[in-house]
Amino acid sequence: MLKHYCIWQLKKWLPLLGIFGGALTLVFGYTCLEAATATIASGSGAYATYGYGPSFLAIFIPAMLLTFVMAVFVYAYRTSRQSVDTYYQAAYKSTTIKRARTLIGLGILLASITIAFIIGFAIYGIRYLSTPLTREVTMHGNPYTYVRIDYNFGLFGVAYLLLLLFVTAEYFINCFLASLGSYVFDQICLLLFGNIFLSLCILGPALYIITVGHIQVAGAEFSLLYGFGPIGPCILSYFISLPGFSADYEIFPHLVGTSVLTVSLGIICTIANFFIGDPTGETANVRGARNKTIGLIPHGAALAIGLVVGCCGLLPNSTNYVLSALPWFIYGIFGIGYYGFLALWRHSFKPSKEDLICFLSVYGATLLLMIACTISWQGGAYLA
Amino acid sequence: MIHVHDVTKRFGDLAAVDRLSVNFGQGITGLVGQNGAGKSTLFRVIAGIYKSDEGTVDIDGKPNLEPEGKADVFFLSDDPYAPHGANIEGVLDFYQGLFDIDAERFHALIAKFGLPLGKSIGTFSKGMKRQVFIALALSVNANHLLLDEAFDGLDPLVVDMIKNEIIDASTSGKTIVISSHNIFALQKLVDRFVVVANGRVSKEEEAEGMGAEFVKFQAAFPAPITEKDIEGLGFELVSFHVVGSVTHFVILGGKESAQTIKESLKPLFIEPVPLEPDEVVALEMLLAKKGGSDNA
Repeated sequence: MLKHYCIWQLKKWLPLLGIFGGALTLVFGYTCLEAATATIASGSGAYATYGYGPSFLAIFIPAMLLTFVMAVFVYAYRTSRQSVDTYYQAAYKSTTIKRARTLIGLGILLASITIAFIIGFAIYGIRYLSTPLTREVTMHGNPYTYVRIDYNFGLFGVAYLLLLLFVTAEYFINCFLASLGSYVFDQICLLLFGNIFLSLCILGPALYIITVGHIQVAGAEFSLLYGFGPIGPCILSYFISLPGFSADYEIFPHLVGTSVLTVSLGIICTIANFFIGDPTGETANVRGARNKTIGLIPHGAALAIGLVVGCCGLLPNSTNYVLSALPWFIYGIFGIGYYGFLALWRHSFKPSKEDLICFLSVYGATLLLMIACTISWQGGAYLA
Repeated sequence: MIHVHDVTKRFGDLAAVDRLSVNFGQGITGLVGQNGAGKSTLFRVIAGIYKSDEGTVDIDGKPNLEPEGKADVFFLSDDPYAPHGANIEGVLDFYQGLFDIDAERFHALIAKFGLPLGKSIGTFSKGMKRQVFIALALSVNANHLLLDEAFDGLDPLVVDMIKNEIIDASTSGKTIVISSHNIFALQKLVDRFVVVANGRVSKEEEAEGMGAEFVKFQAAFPAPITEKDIEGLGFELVSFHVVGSVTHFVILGGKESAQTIKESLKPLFIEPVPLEPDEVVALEMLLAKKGGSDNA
């Protein structure tokens, strides 16, 4: 019976393979079509240069975005009364159906990526092989030598394997986030805020390091900002595409750290997806009804954002009136946004007692953090 | 046998099913009650879609939330799921992945109903869709069927065909529980009625015995009378209507009560009239509701 269901589901989602594969191929194929295969070597002497191939960002970013879409598809069965009535009475354990759907969804994603990668590889490979080793040209009366770049096609393999790994990890993270909601709007909010939360939860301390004199945007702190979520792997793919990238590049250990964090979280979410049963059908298509903890999602997300907003107190604020007002402006916008999202989430502008307590606590804590950061900055400036 | 023991299912502060106990054995049972009485919730709890807050349900001794219990029960909701754009074969294909279905029987029933196999089910009328899913429910290899609003949107001819199929299925040893607002459709079909009100079973009775406690009169009085005149005679009045000069009322008691009314209210004429099946069920529900509010 399960085999029959899996075949049915695979057939049902087959058009997604075409859509996802087509979209990825379009973006990555175009990038491979436009990527340089030769570079100008000044003067008459030709020398080989190591480097610029197609940017893997062109496939990492859309692939990461597709993991969000697929996660919503995977858990669509629990967002309508009719489908819940059907799926939840089937004689399966509560993890069986979602496990099957999750794996089929993963298969669709990985197959789409593979198709796009093969096509992109073929496009760039053909262009590369058809590029002459050297070509003399004259521009504005000056002679130039075009040299075919010394591209290491092994990078395609590395990027492909890393992409499979990261897409799998991010997909399972997103599936877990989507599984917490039983209403499409909830699932989308959970995916967005979950990823923002995971990405930002270490931004506060990192921002502190950056603003208090250790500005190394392309260095260690920056790579650690997005240890979780989809942004980290994308940054990694950007560095892979850089000319001269090698394992002894100074950022490499941090990229490895990023990878390990994302993959570890993916593994935890995989276990959660596969072994934690679905809630029973009464929560279907009911906003915020899966359990009471889900009701705290807006406050959790606000807490993470509040941490960042609070650190805005570190922004230089003693010499420039505009700059000194900026943290308070951000604080005000944060409050309005927080209240607005809460109202949207609850379908009411009148907050419940619990919501009001949480709102005041989070907003108050943000204020305290902001004041503390401002005092800390002013103290630091005074000492300096 | 479906054994429901002391089940409570709450939605927030509302107890849709409230300490309800009932057994559904082999044969056909009609589950009746007002809108919001808790019939569909009870079905969903039995089918394992909802988890009860209190109490237990077992299907032939197997817990209803476990796959073994679920395998032996099929619930057909009043608005069943069909994959987008699927035709009848597509619906069967989908349901075969989730339930053990006798495809041969399904095709035979579809042929009997004369439904087009190739057309998208989305283009079907409500009644045609209902026929597809009734055919599906009757083809599931489960011993217990729960049919919610089984005859909703069906014409009398189709109702008759489906009733025959349901009777056939019940004689083969299945337990069939049907909830319907169409009491006429349940007439001469069910063996037993279970009346649900306010989330509880207010009455269980064999179909033949239903309504024996009620007596309906039509009478004409020289001067208009009110409910209080009847209640003043010590009768429990269940229903009271005046149409022109004729008063229709239903009381709890025997036909001999006519004599008391004759002596006290001196009607121009009074005679007992038979109750229609839907009236009986409506009166049972009314009485159950009254009892519920009295208790409250």
